Amino acid sequence: MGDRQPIAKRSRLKRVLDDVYVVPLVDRWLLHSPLRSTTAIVNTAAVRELKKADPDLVRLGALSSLIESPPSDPPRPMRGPLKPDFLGIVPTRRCNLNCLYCGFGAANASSSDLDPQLAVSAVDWMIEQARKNNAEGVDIHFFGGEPFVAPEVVDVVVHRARARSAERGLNCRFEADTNGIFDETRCRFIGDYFDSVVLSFDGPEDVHNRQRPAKGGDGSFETVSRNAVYLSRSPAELCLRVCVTSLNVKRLGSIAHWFCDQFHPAVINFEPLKPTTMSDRAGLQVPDPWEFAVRYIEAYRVASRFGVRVVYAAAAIERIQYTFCPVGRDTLIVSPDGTLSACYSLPEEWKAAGLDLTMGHLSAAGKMVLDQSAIEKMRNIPAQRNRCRRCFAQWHCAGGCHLMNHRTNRGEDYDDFCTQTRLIAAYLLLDRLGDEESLQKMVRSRRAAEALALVASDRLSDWEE
Amino acid sequence: MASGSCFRCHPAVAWSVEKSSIILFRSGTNDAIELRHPESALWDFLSRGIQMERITAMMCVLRSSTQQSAELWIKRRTAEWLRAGWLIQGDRIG
Repeated sequence: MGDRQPIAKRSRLKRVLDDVYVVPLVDRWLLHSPLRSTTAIVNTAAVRELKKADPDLVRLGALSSLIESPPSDPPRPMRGPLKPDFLGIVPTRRCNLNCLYCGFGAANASSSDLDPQLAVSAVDWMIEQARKNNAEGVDIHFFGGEPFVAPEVVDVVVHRARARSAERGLNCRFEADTNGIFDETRCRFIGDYFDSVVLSFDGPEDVHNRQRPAKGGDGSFETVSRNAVYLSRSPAELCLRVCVTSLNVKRLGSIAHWFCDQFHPAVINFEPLKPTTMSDRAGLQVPDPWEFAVRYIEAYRVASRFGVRVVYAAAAIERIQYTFCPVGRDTLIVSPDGTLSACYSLPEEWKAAGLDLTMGHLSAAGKMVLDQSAIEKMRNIPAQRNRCRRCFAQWHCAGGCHLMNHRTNRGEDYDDFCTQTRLIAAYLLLDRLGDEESLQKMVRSRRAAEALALVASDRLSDWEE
Repeated sequence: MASGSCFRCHPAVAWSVEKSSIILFRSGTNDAIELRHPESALWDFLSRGIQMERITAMMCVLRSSTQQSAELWIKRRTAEWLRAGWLIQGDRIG
């Protein structure tokens, strides 16, 4: 039968088998083809028909477009001149809190902050790059430690970037990841000058203070919540970022409700704990992935009623991406010692994962010295994720954190990260389709969740009845 | 410039942070001026009550100048703003 088909049709059919994924629901199938912008709930007969060597297009109805229409190209590694999507500035690794799970070295941070003169050199370079690349503007992100513990670095970067970008006719956008521990004057500055603030806030007072104590053991809740109120009323877009542990996972719905009611953020971001030596010592545990997925969707729906977006970075079903993080996007992150890298984490973390994410350095004279071979290597790191090829969420999740991928030497099997990501992505797709019945059945049934999350391959080519 | 020199914004002055400038307004009047870089940076630092030594250090970086040149420049700008009533002498309140 295959010999009688035109070659073009056989080729299209093969692509469909590779581009289309089917995951089991309780009594139906979720069909998802991100490169063909198609998601649907289908029955077994439809899946069976699609998998045939010569499917009946009439029987398939609207699904026949899956075969007839060409897919988009999958995201690929960047090529050509460097095009950083943003400039990351780490003014310091110091911090004024003592969070139990800190993975950014604040506890043992060097007291050396980034030299403001070097920071300004990085800004000048970035703006020139944007101009050369005909970009509309530049994005500058501050990270740490706690960036506002080195205020002069932030202040000179902000003012220099505003001035230089204006001279070049470019827009300039600032974002900060912060713990929210600063005085009212600094808070006003952030509200006036920043476009986006990602504020770490783990929930109501009991859980926030337990997980994020100040140095000396006092709580940080009062200051953070005061600043969250102010920032929510400022022009800056406020994102509240929650580190989810076994302590707060069951409360995500009520946390979302309280956040929406008290602070009206633009976004709430729930991210599971990444275990560190500190978190292990403190007895903090990662949330159960099954529980996290169910509670996440509960929080998502609560916040939706307030018009607040809820995000779990790995289940970004609204976009197709090649990489989960700055690695592979040409992003340059300037560390306090002038090192340029693709990752906010500490070099020790990269070494533990067998990776070197250095891309160059800022010389003492402020010259950006870039290692082209390192840049090319960085661009290809995200492609190293064989396990993902079988997963329906691969173009949304893009494999997750590359450090985690390499450090845990994740083989071909799905792990807890995969479990929660696959479940949440599926739940969000069902929500987007408006299939409340299927969603509720999935959320209530551990058995159904396991059937979805643990299936070895979602590819239509591997589907068996 | 004496490190103890302090200024604060005139209580009748409000300002708006724009994309690449700061606009000062005097309440009850039509007086307004637009400050571009580097004056806008200086205004921001003064309005936040940052110590003059730190302001001078930051303006050195922003203007790519020596400390002496930055001090002189700051002295001239603050004197202008004092004369025009945008600034008054004294410790920042609040």
